[in-house]
Amino acid sequence: MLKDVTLGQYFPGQSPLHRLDPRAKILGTILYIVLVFFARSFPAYAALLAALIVLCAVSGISLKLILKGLKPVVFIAAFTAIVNLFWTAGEGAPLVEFWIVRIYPEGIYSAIFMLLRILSLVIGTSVLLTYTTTPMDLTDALERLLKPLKFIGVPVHEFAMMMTIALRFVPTLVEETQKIMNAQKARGADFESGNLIRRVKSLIPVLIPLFISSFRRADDLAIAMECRCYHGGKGRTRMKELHLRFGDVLFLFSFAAFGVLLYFSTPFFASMGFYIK
Amino acid sequence: MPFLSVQDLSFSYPAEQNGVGVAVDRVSFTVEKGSFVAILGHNGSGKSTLAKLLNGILIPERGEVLVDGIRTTDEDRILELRRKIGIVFQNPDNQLVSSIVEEDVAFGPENVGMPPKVIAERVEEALNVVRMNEYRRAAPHTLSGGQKQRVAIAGVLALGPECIVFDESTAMLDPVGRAEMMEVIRRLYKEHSITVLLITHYMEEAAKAERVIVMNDGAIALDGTPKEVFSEVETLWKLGLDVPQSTELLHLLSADERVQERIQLPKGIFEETEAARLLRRLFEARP
Amino acid sequence: MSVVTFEHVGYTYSAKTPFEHEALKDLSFTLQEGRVTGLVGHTGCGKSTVAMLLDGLERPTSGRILIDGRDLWEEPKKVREIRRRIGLVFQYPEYQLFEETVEKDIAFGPRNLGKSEDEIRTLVHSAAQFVGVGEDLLKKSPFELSGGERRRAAIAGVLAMDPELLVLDEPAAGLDPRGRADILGGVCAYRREKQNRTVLLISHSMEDMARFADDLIVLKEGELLFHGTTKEVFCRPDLVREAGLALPQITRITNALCDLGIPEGITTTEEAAIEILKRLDS
Repeated sequence: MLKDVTLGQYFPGQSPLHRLDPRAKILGTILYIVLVFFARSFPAYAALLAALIVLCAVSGISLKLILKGLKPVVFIAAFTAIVNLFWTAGEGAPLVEFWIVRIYPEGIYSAIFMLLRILSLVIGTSVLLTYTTTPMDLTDALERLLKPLKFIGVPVHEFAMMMTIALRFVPTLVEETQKIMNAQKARGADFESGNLIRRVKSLIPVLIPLFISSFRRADDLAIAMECRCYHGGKGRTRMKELHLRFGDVLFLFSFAAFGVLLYFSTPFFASMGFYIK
Repeated sequence: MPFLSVQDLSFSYPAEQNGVGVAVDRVSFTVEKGSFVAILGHNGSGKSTLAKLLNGILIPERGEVLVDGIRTTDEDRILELRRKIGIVFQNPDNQLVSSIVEEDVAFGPENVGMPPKVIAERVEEALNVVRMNEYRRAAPHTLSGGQKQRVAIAGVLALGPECIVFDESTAMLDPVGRAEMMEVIRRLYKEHSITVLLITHYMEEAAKAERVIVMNDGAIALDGTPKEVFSEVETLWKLGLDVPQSTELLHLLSADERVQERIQLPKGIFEETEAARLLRRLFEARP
Repeated sequence: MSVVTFEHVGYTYSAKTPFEHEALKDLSFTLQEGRVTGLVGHTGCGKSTVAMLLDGLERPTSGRILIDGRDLWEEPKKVREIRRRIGLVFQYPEYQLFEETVEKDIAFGPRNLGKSEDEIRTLVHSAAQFVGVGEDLLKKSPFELSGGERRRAAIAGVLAMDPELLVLDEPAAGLDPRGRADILGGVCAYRREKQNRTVLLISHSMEDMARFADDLIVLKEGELLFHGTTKEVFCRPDLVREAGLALPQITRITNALCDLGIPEGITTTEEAAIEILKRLDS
């Protein structure tokens, strides 16, 4: 049923990664992205991949699910790899040469690196963040991390509230869309045949009721919120306190240390000839 | 001093939003602390508008509403007022804010800035009262209508109100959901001494209250105990309302000569066992 | 027509996923032409699934649905053809209104059926009449109407398709007593006027069933518990309780007095008064 669709790709679990403070996970993910772009040598990549494998193992999410999550990026990854393979010019003689195609060793290197970079980026961010953190926790953590921006007039609380309500109402609206479509089908509406324009037009009897009911819901909700003493973010507290615990600090610290190590080791590896552009 | 005091209250919607006539027309009544009052009326009789006037969501055109001495137009004390009187609305889908039950219940206390520990305690307590603690981590869209309404009650309860208004909160539920809600309402009123205002068009629900106020065209048509109100069968029918079936049966029978010759059937009976007992007496009596 | 038969129908939602749910199990019944059949049961007993299956919006996972002896899914491409003969009113149907005027909205169904403008006009007006939607309301925007009026307009939208089988899923839910009577009375007027129309009324209100249904189908957890006349069901409090339903107060009172010679299974207060007065004479 459509109503079982949940937003985001969260997989419930009790692993240490699931239990980390969502703020630590967001910061860790940012750090991770930076690292992926900084890593420019074989040993650095090897270390990064090792770290990634450890993270996946710790998360307790099955390899099958992780690989399934790669589906949407397979095409982009393959395309990037192929472009790099054929369009990277090398200094030495090409390995393969026929017609206009020339493949240099550098091309193979950079294709492999691009592939690894994209895949580790996607796997890393999903395992660290979206697979192991509920959308609600993400919203919460973002609100708290961005809190300082409030002082320069960014409506951080309002933004987070909007996210919360959107998450709450997506399943309701999906269900409602299905219901209205069925009701119009029962009145003889046809959504499946005809050309594009006809099909788009056939959606009007679905979209108008959906808009109207969304407005009504918004109205009802606003009144219900007001009745429950909502008056914006001023003076508001939260039930769930986020405390950075020792584990969170350790996680961030080891991640940072790992990054620093990678950064400073790059010139060393480069001098040994492992550097890639 | 009564807990709730409504004096000469009038309100009409602006013409662009279905503004036909006056929604609430010079209504006055008071409600004592700890009582259970049902407000009956057909759709469009002004009962839902009345609910929104009670906690300052709508501002009276004329007259005033005092909740525990606070006027609903007193903007400085509006939060204090809304903590005293909560409302549970009709549509179970349109009043929950969060996609996790316990966080939704925490919404009210968070708004008034309670410390996190206190909020957690209140959420736990409120969920216990409505017997929804085992669903604390559930997402609202996976719950039944009756369960969602119980979460909505918990959300109001967590603010520690003295009075809860149920604005047709059972209208969209199935019989099981309605029974669950009525059981929670009974407990709130009996065990937690919360003042209950139950807006409804179901007679069986109104019969459970201590006092019934019947509204028609924005004004109070009848006001009394369920027995007194249900005695006015013809008036209720005229107002587009039903009476409990037992009341109706005794009303039909007492119009017949053969019955009148035997016994005088009392008016306003709405309990099954009572009605059955009276019918047995009717059969035993000789003309 | 309109003999509708369910033959060992089963339906499973989200089969082979963690959300798998068997909504109907081996369900067989026949709806007799020209009768109002009530479908009752506890929430989640599969009532609404029956409605979806009847209108061909979902396909049974097992068994067959026969309409006039023909399998609804014999040729899946022709399901839309058969659907024309069936009118389905969903719960809270007022949410499907979308046109500028009530009249245009009611005309949406017949227009989809390819009727001529003249036919559409006649159909719209007669459908509106059944449920008491007057000329003044027809010209209004559906969004200007009151809740009860919107509900009636939406039901008129299905009646205007002139279906041979009319299925209504909780048509009176959430309405006040007058609104309920308006809608159910309208459905009855439709059935009386148009002969041989079959109606399936889905509801958990036994009070409404008592007044409007000739036959009752009682479902429990997707299985058929009982199929008989309304009277028969009202004589069986045990069955009703097993289905998680409650008999109307009047039936409970009179059933408790059967030792005084009052017949069991009384459905309405009027009937109860007549029976009691009859016994007083003797």
